[in-house]
Amino acid sequence: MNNEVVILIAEDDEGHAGLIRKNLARAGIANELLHFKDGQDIMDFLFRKGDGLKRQSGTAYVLLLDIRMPKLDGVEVLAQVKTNPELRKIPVIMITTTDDPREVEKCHALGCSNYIAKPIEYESFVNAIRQLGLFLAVVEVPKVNGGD
Amino acid sequence: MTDPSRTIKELIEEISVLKQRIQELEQSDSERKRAEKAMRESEEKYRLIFENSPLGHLFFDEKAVIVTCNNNFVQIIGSSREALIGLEILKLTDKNMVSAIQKALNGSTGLYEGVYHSLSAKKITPMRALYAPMISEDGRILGGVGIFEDVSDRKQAEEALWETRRQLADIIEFLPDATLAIDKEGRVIIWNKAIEEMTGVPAAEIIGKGDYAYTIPFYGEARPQLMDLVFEDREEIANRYPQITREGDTLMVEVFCNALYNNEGAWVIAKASPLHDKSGNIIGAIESIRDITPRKRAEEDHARLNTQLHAKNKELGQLVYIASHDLRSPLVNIDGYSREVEYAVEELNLALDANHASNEALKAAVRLPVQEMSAALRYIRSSTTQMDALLTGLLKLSRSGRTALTIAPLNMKELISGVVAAIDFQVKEAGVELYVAELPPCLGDAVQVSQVFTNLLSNALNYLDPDRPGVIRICGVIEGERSVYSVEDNGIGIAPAHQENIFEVFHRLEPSKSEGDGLGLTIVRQIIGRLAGEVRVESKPGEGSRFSVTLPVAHD
Repeated sequence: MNNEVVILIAEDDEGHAGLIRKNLARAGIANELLHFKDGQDIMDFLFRKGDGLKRQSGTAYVLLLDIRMPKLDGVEVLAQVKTNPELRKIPVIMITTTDDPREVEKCHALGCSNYIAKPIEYESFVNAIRQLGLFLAVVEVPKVNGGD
Repeated sequence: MTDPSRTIKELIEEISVLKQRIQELEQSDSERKRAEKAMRESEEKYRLIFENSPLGHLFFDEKAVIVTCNNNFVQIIGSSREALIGLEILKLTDKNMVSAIQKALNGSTGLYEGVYHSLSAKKITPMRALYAPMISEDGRILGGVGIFEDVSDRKQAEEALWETRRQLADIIEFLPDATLAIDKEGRVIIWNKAIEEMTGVPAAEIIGKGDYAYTIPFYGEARPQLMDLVFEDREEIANRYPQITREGDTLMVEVFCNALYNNEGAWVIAKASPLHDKSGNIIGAIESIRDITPRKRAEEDHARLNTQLHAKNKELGQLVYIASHDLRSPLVNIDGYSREVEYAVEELNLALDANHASNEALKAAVRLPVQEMSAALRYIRSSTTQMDALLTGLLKLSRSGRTALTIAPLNMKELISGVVAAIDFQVKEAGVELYVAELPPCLGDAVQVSQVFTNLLSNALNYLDPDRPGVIRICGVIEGERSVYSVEDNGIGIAPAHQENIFEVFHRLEPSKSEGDGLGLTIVRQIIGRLAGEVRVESKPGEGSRFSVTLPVAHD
């Protein structure tokens, strides 16, 4: 059985989101990536509200959550996710801007599963996933090589 | 011729009678001798008493002539027996003495207390004398008796006591601390110079007065106060004081007396203690009061400055935190995309080193990395611009906090008109209706206050609700010592959770919506803080927001 895990990225900065995407590709992770630009959008998706994409039941998700986002920040999103009986099963990886122990402490106090500091290198990302014991079904894609 | 008829018997009878007579005579003679002896002994006894009495005694006859006196009397007067015996004492020059003697001669007791100047000697004696009449059995006044006491020692002791009392009274009178005392009935018994000066009430006006007359200069009304607590622990009195410290018998408070110094009021420290008599009973209370207004004001200033310092420190901390995070973000991009450029360069090298089937093949191999580099470099450039903007913003904030202020009364109607005129174009473009009501004047710096309202109006224009025409209202009112202005809009409003965040540096509610640098409200708060005012927001998402700015009122 191949439960493809969908990776949700809640990140307001375009540049950061781009880097995450590139690094995941470089690691050979070809899972579906969904990008959300702010806390409200990711909430709408998870709680199936609003006009945009909605969460599908039966799909496994991993949530990469930036701490600072406009409208609804990562802290609030995490709080709401972790208090919801269905949603709290979703592993959440907080993206922090530093290695500052206070930041880390804050993340764990909030109930996140793990954290990674920006800039996100694919190694630390893959490590984080592995630490969670997640097995992402990686679809081997032949490396793009010029024209094809 | 003798009658021989008289018999021997008769003669013997006569002789026997004679013998008996002689016996009786002898008996009465020895009785007389005994009586004389007894009288002499009794006289001697009285004489000894008279002579050896510790007091001075004299006897005078009905013509007030001294008949006899004892040695003590002689010594008290400082004269001699010869001069005194036979002295006509009604002829003395001391009127008081004469009147006392006369009283005795008239049948009652005469008292003399005073300093007696002796005539017959050069002695001045403080003395006490009592005269009583000598009354015979049939009620005639035969003369009088006088008893004299030299009270020099007692007089000296009394004088020393008075001297001490006077000294103590002087000490209390001239104590630097305002001091008052009351007796058990609550009447003022001490009111010293310092308290006269503190209250403006002279001692003559208040000594002896009760019914809390002494609280009027302090509180403007007659009411129980600290000294009453010394007499009795009553809760309703204790409750008037914020805190009472007890040290043994003494109660101490710090309290504000509103009526002092012409109702200007002052902070004082007051200490009250009970006054006890010899047996330990409370017979009154004493209180001393010291003006501590300068100290109190200094304490209040200190506390206020401390709070301000605390707030400023917190603000600064927040600023540093937010700034460092916000600066990291573009840095992540610069670092990350620089790496991407590195990867692209690697790819290019691979492509250049490889053997390609054709030129087209080479071009194809090169094109992608070049595109990637291009994209990466765009991110790098925009990130550096972003960092620059953030740093510029910080600099702006710092400069704004350091500009010199010119505080003056401001005509707010004029000032606001100026601000509105400057943004007139944006207002028209947004189709917003702007109303400005009558505005009271305030105290502030014209340039800075203009900046405040420019920022507030700017925000209002940027956060309009697309579903309805925008309306912005500016009005103002005076509340006590403050002028309160409000900028009210019917825009999209601000969620309660964000109402504190919006003042944060670089915070932008809708980054996509506006070009702002996220410093508008930070600067508003900074300026208002420097002008000793407050800024507050009330808002309901979907309905609109009201920003209230409070500034000190302008006194004409």
